[in-house]
Amino acid sequence: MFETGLLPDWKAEPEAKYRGLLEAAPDAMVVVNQYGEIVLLNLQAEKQFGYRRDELLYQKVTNIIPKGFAERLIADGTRTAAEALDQQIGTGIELTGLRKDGGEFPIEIMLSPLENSEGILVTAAIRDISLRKAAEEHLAHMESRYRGLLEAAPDAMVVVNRYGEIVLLNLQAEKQFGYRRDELLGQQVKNIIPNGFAERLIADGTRTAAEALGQQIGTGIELTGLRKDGGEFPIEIMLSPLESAEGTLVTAAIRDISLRKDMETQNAQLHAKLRHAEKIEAIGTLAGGVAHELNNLLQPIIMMTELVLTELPADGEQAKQLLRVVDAGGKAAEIVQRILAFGRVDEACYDALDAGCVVREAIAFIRTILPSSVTLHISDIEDIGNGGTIRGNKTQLTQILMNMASNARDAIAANVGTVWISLSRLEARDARPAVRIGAVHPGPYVVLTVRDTGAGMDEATMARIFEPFFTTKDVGKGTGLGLSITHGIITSHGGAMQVDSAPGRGTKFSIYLPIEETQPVLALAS
Amino acid sequence: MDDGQQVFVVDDDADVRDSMRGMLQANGFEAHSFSSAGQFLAGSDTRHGCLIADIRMSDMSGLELQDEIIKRKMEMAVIIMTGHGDVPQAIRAMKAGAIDFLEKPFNREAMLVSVRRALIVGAEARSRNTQTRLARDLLASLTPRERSVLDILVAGRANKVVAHELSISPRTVEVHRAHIMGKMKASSMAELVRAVSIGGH
Repeated sequence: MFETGLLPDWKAEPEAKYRGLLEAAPDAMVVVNQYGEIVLLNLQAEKQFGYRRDELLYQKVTNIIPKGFAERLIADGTRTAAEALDQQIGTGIELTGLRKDGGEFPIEIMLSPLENSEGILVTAAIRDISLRKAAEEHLAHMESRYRGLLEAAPDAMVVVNRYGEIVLLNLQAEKQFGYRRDELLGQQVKNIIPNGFAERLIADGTRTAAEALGQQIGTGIELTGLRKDGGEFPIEIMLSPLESAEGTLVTAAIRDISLRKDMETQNAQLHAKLRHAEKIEAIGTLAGGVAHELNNLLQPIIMMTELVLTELPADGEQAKQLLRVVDAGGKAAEIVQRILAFGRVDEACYDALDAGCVVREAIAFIRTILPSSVTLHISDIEDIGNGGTIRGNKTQLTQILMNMASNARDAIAANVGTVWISLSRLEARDARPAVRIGAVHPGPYVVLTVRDTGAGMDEATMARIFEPFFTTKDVGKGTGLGLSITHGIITSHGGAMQVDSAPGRGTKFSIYLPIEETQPVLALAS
Repeated sequence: MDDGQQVFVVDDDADVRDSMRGMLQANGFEAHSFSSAGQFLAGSDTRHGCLIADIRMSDMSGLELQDEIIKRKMEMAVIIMTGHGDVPQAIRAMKAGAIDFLEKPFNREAMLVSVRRALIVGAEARSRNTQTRLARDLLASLTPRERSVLDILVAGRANKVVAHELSISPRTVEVHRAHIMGKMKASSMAELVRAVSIGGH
């Protein structure tokens, strides 16, 4: 701005020579000698400080810049112009200007040394920064208001710059992610939102704030948050662009949606159960209708064949063939009976039963259906004693045990394996087991488990095993009704059921039956 | 078969009732079949024997038919058939006096066992009814005075007591007693008591 070469000799060349130059400067300019006296000034300086030129000339500069200038000048006096220049003295020092009327205003001054025969002069370019200051104050005020808003927000809020760095965050963000503020400021947002956020930010970087706003960027994106302790939790974030001096920032409102997610999962499970129950009910109704029709058709098939049989010689070929028709009719009738078992579970009689007795007696039957290659292992049955009184139908409970045992046998197939049957007591208080069928309410339960070392099932198979007519067994081996009937029986007993299985890892069925307080009356009745 | 061994089959399915009628006839029963309860009820109320009716029929159900038979005092041992194994309905039918309950599809053996039993139970009931009717008819032929004498006699009183209570001579009691024995076709006091007990007062 003021090169020394332009002012070779201050005395020889009067101020007129540089007047034009000084007056053309947009800032107020004053030249101060080493005694702190103003030796030269321009029109802007007169205007800014409200003095006439002659009122200022050879006056102390402290009259118009009370603080900062003089100290600096003195300091400057102790060094050479070369040194001062080298140190770029006075690059934008903010001081306060004092007008003739006593008014103060913020100034920014830039000092540069001028060496001449009188010694070192200092040229000061003085800029009135009232407007800028006001703007800055406004900004600071806005920022504090913004911060207030930020802290008052119910969600965690982080403001991220275009490098993906966190530049601002609120208390909720600290709490949610388990960090202190200073641990997050300046860090990559990836540290707390590993996926999804950064990619979006980059995409946002390619468009203007207006465009982004126009597209309503980030309306409820579901991502995963990462806490300091390594724990993950589901979040929903809403992004909005924020124009600032540093470029477009992105404000992210982050909501912890763990609770909502849990509710959604629970709802989904409940709906699945409801759908299943509805399906079973519909099939039960359908089964009743179909059974009625089929039974009516089977009636003449069996009886007319028998009628023809009475007119044929008993040992003839035709009689033998017709006997097979009668047999087939009988088998068909049995299948229809099983289908009907759906609609009939509610009609069974329920008595107070000792669960242990029921299971012990059923085990006698189970032994007869298991081949010698399968080991039957029974545990915990005795421990239940008389405490395991349940209200139920003994025939039905025996039926489901037999059914599970035959499933275990078929799962083990021709291989050598083991079937475990156990009976235990459970106090379902706070920690209630997850179940696929029914529900476990707080209170005492007997838990009957049947576990095998068989082929196991994948999740897709497990999801369907209670559907009527769903079977993994060969044609003719299974009706696909066993577990459907089991489902109906357990539901009618107010019980619940869980299946644990994985391919190659066997299957475990757990049946929960509520214990009732009264003593059994049919403990060992046949 | 003698009178009373008739079997009536009511089912709206022609194949069902034809096969049953054929099988019953092949086993020596006099069997008739009807396609509806209405068709069966259109016949005489004095028919008796065994009725096998389906529980589900379009015009009138087997249970309603059973009620109607009871209302009309028909001497019919009822067997209810169902294609649905409906236990509560079966209980209702049995409570209303059905002899048996056949779940379709049933075979020859099940049907014949059930029908034979129904006919025996039915015949016994009919026989009881016949005796009751006979006793009632005989009692109705007595004069009011004879009926009074009979009531005191069956209470175990001697002739003299009867004479005293009715203020008549013992000789008159003797005459009434001879007439009563004759009208009631009784040969002993024991037979007289039995006739009063089943014929009512």
